[in-house]
Amino acid sequence: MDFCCKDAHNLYRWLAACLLTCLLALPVQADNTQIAFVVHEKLPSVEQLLQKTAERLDITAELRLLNNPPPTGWQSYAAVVLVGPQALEAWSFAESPPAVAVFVSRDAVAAISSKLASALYLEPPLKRQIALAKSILGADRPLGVLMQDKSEWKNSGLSSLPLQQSLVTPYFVDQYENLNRALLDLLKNSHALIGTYDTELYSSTNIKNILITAYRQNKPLIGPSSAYIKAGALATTYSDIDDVAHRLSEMLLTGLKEHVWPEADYNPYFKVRYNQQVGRSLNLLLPDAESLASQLTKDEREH
Amino acid sequence: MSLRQWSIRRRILLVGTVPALIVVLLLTTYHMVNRWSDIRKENQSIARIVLENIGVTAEYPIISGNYELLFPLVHAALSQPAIVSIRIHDAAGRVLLDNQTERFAEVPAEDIRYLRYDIVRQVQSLDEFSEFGDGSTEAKTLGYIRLGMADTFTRDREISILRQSLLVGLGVVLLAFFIGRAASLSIIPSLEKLSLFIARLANGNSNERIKVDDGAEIGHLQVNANQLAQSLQQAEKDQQSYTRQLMSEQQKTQQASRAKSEFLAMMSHELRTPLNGAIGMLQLLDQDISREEFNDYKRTADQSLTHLTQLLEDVLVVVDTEKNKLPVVFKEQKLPDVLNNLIQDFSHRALDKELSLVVDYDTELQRNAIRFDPSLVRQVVRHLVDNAIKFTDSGMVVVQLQLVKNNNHDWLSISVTDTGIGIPEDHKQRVLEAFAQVNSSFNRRHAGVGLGLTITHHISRILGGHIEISDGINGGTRVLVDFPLGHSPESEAVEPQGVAHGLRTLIVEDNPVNSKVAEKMLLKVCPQMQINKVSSGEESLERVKTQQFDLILMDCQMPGLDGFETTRRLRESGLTTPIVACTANTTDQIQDKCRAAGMDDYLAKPLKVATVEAMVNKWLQRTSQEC
Repeated sequence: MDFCCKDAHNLYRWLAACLLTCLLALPVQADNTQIAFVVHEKLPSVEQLLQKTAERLDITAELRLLNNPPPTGWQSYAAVVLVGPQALEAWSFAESPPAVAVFVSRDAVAAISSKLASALYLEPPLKRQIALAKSILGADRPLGVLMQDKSEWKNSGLSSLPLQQSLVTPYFVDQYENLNRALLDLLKNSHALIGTYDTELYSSTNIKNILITAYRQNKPLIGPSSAYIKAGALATTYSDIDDVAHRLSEMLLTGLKEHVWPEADYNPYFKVRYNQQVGRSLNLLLPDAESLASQLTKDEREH
Repeated sequence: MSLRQWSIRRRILLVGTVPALIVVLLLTTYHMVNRWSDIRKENQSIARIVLENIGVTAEYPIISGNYELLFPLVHAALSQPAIVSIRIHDAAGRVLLDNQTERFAEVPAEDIRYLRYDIVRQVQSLDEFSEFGDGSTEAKTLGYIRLGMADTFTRDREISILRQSLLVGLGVVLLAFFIGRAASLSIIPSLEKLSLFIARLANGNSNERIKVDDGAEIGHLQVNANQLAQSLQQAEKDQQSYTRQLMSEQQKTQQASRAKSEFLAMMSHELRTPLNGAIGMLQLLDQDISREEFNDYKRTADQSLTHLTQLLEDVLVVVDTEKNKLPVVFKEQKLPDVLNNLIQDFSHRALDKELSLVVDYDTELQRNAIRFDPSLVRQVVRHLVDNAIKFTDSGMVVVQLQLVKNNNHDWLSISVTDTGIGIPEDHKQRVLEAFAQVNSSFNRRHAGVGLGLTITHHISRILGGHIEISDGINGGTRVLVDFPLGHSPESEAVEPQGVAHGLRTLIVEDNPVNSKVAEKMLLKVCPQMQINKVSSGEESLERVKTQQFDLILMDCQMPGLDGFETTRRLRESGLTTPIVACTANTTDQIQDKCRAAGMDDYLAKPLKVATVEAMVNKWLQRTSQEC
């Protein structure tokens, strides 16, 4: 009897412990919104992005390196954010929670867009850059865009517009002897070169050449992205980490809550940035960056 | 040639120049090495600046192929003398630009050093993350610059630096040389002068003095040299004076030696004269002659022998004079008693020369006995009177004898005045010196040994008196001798032993002739005397044991026991009999020796009746009955 009583007592205790554990585990289990930010290496910018996104969503998020999957598997996350082209390329989508790509170009996403839940393009859209150029230089100025070949032009989304209307002329490098010839031709006919986010064309090797050649002709380079401002581009629209976090949190919120992932697209939140020194060198009067950015945003929304 | 043999001039120049040379060489080397290393550093730094400049500038021209853009920089770089060529290659090594100086051909290929400088372009990485500030930069080599450097043209600069440094160094060494020369010129003339001065000093020019015109060491040297000269001068003077003194002494010695030789020659002649007289007369006595003739011969022989004795006495005195010693024996006697015989002799001689001899005793001398050495006083008087008679051809000789009280002490003053030839003033001192007669010819004319005044002078000095030679009457000479008389000591008065029986005398004498003379003389003095004779000391010792004597006459020199030893033994045996030494030795030590042996008196040989009589009277207190 004594034995039975003892057993019964132990059983109660066990049950109480189980209950308590279940109660404690319940919110986590119920609100399964843990997100992993996957990156090929630890970078401060990614950590900032993680932190800001987590703050905005009020969810837990953690940084995981590609080669270091969690012991419970990627499936333990509600969603994964693939940061950078390296993570995107290396990601195996099998047994994966919904994946969102950030810090990737439109071209990179295009190849595997079907496997992704969603993506946020890194570069500003060409239209926005043209709008910026027109705001700075004037709407009637002819502008040139340098492209590798015509296929690129077709993908840009501008080809549909009549050239005269947009006053944007594409120049295809493959039609010239070399880059410089194309560039010189472009600069001869245009007031500005609008950069496209083509890391091959606007490679670090080429950019100096492009910039110096352009400035010899007193023609500015607009775009292609924020990184080129430092290299010597005159102005660009860009989305910083705040903007990326803003848009990413919106996407995640929609995707996780409503289970509807928005399509991969450019970031609607952006800012304008100038290289004041280049502006001075080219004798250009630059409008206020913030007001210009809000103007451009407004214009985009209206359209 | 070692450094020590070098002249001061060379040494000073060496001391002045060599350190300067060393310093100059060291400094020049240091300076040149510094300058050269500066030039090299400068070249390197120029090369670096040129390369960096071209490297930076070349970026665009290389990319654009617009190489003309580099020409100004390349030309500017080539204007540097150290840079001779610039060649720019692209990354694949193709030559894009090749420029050389105009003088490139002159530069030997092995002189050229090539520096390579990569033209690097720093490019920004433009990847996705760089959009958000995580971008980095990467270096990309576009090509390289090959810079040719050569020291050929900078060497000219280095050589010019070397030349300048050496020129300055040479100037410093020359300056040091001239300073050294100036220093030597300030020292050497003074030293040369000093050297010359000392050389002249060494040659005997001690009258000169060098001018002291320098300070410190050389000044001291000059002063010392002058002192040396002074000392030398003084030494020279002293030497001269000593030499003069020495020469005069030598002259005197030579003179004395000559005089001595002459004296000896004369002496043999002088000795032969009385010997001839005595021997001749004694031979005549052998013949059958009358009483009158006998007396005459005997007197002549007697005179001759007396003369001989006096001569020997004189010679002995002279010998003593040489030794500066003379035994003095004081006796208490009346002066006229001592001199009577002598005066008588002189009276005869004066009579022969038709001179008048006046002898004047003062009354006290005639009346009282005085204490003096009769032998010495007799000699003095004899010599003085003898001289006076000898050198006086006409006129008179006056002898004055006086007792003079001087400081509570009795002095005997003997004055002999003659009317003879006199003594020249400058010879008055010299005649007092032994063997220093006026001259020999003078001596010849006036026969005699010529020692009279010398002996007199010596005796007066020994007795503590003086001799004074002055001019006498009518150009003659007056000689005054005075000396103190002795005190009358009690010890001299020997207590004669009372003798009740006939007087007994022992003669100890090895020579039978002498023994006989003594015996005869004693018998002459005292005919009653019992005389015993022994011929040796041993014999006398034996005889004394068996017989009593009142007087012993002891010969000093005897074979076997001599007189001194015999006397000593007699005295040891307790004998108190007066012992009188009888000796031919008249040196001054003999008297002391006799006394030390225990003798009471001594008689000098040859014996004279008068002295023997005096001795007998003294020791035997003889009465007329006993003799």
